[in-house]
Amino acid sequence: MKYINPILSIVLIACTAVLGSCNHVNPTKQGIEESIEQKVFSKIKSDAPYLAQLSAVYGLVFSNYHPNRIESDDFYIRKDKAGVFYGYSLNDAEIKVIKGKDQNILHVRLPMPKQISVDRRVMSVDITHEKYKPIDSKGQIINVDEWMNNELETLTKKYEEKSIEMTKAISRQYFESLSKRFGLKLNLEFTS
Amino acid sequence: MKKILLIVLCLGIVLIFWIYHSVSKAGSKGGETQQSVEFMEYMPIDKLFTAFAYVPIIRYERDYLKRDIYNRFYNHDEKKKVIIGYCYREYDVGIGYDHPTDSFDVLQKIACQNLYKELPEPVILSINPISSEVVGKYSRTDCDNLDLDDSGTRKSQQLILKQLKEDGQWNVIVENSQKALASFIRVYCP
Repeated sequence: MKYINPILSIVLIACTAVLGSCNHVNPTKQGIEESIEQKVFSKIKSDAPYLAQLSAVYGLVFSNYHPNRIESDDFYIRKDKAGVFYGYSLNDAEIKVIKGKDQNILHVRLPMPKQISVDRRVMSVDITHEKYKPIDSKGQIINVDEWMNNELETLTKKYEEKSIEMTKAISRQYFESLSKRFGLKLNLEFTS
Repeated sequence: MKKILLIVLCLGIVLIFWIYHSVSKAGSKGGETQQSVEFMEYMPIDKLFTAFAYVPIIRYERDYLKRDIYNRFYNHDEKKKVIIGYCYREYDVGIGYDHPTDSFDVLQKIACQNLYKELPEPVILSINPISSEVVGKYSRTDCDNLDLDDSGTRKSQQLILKQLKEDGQWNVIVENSQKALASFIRVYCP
């Protein structure tokens, strides 16, 4: 019996050492993933001021023509410009590094880009006779600003899908570069 | 006999833990390889579209008013001419960078120092004429010639760029595009 205690002690020390080394594996792996995640977050944070909004610009032209047999024909041509920005807030994004089977994954869920702001301005008005007011086929005076707003709304609707796709493409290219930089596989999705 | 059994039992426990430890270590190989993740190889980009523009181009034909005989025959003051017709064409224009990563090293130096305004200006990458109209006294042929591809260049491209600059929209496009380009390049900053 006098040998049992020393033997048991040795066994217990050995078991503790083995268990200790077993437990040590997971924190190291987690540590690496967390370290990459921190680096990715830090990179995104430093790039955030440049992270892309799409700038879509629209030119608008209202033209009104009224033939005149005796006098010169009447022309009224007004040009406006409009800038429309598309993007999203990074605060609404979900970004994390998760462990994959062969390669760690950069998981990115971004909100669907949307119109952020619209800016429209008059650029020029060309007119044949100073007192001429643009009239429609029924002889009614046309509200040019209302026409411009309707035209801009029609155009932004027409090109909305294209603009959103371009904004998504800019983000996709950024996160593809980012994931390649850190040796991660990208899993990117946009939430509706 | 009891002592021997106890020793065997303890050695058995040690053996089981040793096998478990070895298996765990082998299974964690994938995690350990992640330590060599930081490499500086960049992803080449063919085209980076950074802006979109809908640009109407209007070209005028001007002449004196019918009753303005004085200027028509004697004074010839160009400022007195008025619009007698126009050519109107609309374009979808894609703007951005063509092979932006070709001069990666130069761009990286600029972008990594937060000097994004020193990055190159974007260029017109695509032009798609979507409609045209001729009103009053303007030649249809002259109007169509704006998009005549003469030895790889067409007048409309110069006019679109001129129009965007005159309207002040080009500055907005340039700043936004330089920021977008900077964001890609900055990914690879040390």
